[in-house]
Amino acid sequence: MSVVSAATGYALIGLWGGMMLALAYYIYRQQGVDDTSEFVTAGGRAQLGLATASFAVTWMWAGDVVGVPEYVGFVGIAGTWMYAAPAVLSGLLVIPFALRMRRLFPQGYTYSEYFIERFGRRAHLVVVLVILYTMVLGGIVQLYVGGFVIGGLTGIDPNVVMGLLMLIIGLYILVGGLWGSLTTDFVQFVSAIILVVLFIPLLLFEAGGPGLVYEDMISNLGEEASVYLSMQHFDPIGDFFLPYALGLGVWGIVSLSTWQRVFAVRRDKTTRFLTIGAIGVFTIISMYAVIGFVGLAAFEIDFTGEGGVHPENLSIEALGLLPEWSLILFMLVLLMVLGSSTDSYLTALASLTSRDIFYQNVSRDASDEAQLWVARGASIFFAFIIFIGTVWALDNVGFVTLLLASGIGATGLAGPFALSLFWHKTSSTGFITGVVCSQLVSAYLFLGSPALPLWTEFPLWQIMAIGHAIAITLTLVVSLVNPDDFDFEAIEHSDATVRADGGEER
Amino acid sequence: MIGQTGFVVLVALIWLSATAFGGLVVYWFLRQGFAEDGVESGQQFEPEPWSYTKVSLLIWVGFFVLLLALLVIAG
Repeated sequence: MSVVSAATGYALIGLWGGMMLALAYYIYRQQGVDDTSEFVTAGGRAQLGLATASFAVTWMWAGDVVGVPEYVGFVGIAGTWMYAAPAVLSGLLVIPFALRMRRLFPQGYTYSEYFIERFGRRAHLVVVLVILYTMVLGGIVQLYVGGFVIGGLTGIDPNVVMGLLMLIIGLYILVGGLWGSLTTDFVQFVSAIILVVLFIPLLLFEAGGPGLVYEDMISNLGEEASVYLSMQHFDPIGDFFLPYALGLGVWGIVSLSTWQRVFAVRRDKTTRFLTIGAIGVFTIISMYAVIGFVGLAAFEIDFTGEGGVHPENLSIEALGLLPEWSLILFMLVLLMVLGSSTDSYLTALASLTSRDIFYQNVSRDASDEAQLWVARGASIFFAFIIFIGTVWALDNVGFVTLLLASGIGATGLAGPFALSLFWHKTSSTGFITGVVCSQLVSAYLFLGSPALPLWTEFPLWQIMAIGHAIAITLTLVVSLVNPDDFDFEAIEHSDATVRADGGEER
Repeated sequence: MIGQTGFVVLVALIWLSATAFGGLVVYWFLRQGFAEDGVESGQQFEPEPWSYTKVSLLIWVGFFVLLLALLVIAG
């Protein structure tokens, strides 16, 4: 269903792209993004407002505009907390990690470089591989929504939409690095606030106001109303809450884009920006649920696709109720939100390639200028990889499946990472065994089929729980058998900046 | 099941919270700007004091209490 013309869609993408590129160039000139520290961590001097806005928009994915109404379509109003709470939980769980890391490594580039100091190069390589695929998947999730929603609303081929989005985002990250991401994120944050404070209420009142929406929901839902309109609708918790909580609930701990923002602010402000940012995300994600409420009021839900609206399409159908002028503005805002999340993953991938792959494993003599060039080249390379991955995913994988699958990487890494930070006996062998076995078993269970030996079907949340259990148990057991005796204080009292770079001066 | 008044209050409450959050972050940005003045790239600061961390944890406790209350009231 296209509700605005393709020409309008192209004009909007062009307008958005022009604005973002101009902003990135402005911040490139203003902040002097001419060394790796500025490109990767904004030099560790970003202000609280900028960092909080960036953390929030990185965390509230563009996919939420589709995902939350879909959850509401499947679960009812309880879908609001089932979707929003895990995202917030992630912000809470990352706090002890962030405080500990910033004590050990006050100003690291990427958190993954910590593993070189703690365990050596083999463990570091394992971490890099896990981060690499989770960040690429994260980028694919964002772009997927861009193609699905913007393509759906304008009638433009989703692949063309995705190609244009990725080209623009790749270019502005190429110019401004993390500074470009932070600055465009702030504008995108303000846009998201406008979306939830103005446009979603407008949609609500287009549908007759909250009172009438409630009455229409009761009428449309019939006997199902008492279930759909209860916050205590716990039955679908295994399908909708637990996979999200066990995967994306710990995503913040392993997400390089989170750590870039942690390292971008002064370390005496760490918990403040994480707390306000994460709880703020809950309020904004909850507002997206209103799109789902309007959908439940305006359309009959049909799970077979033969009549009524399937929950997967609830968002697009409900947004179609907006008047055309506001829908055009809504799409512009949506482009902003889309860009903010995708650019964060792209910056993270560029940083990972430059620091963890090129500098740490290819050329230890590389100059700062060479690292910066690799980071910039990687931003274009991974823009292409994410685009190709999304074109494939759009035809082959459902959105919620893709969203939940992207959390699997976190299940293998979060527990062993915690043990490495807080337990001195955690050994390199234990860490590697835990992470690798957990990822292999999770992938086997998730991607396998009955034709494979020993394969058993588990619900997704159980696969994630198994992933956590294997990672933590193996790391613990192997470390007990073959313990390390790591001296954290030795790092804490040394020049942590140098240590974070694997023993090299910047 | 949530009643009509409860539903209207819920939507209003979420809207107010989102507006307050947006307002706070924009206020911080307008007051502070982009970067710390006079700070060089990679400069180190003291670790976060426990008093700051405690305030953050209290905010988290308040948030989860509110969330639980919402689950009970709108059950």
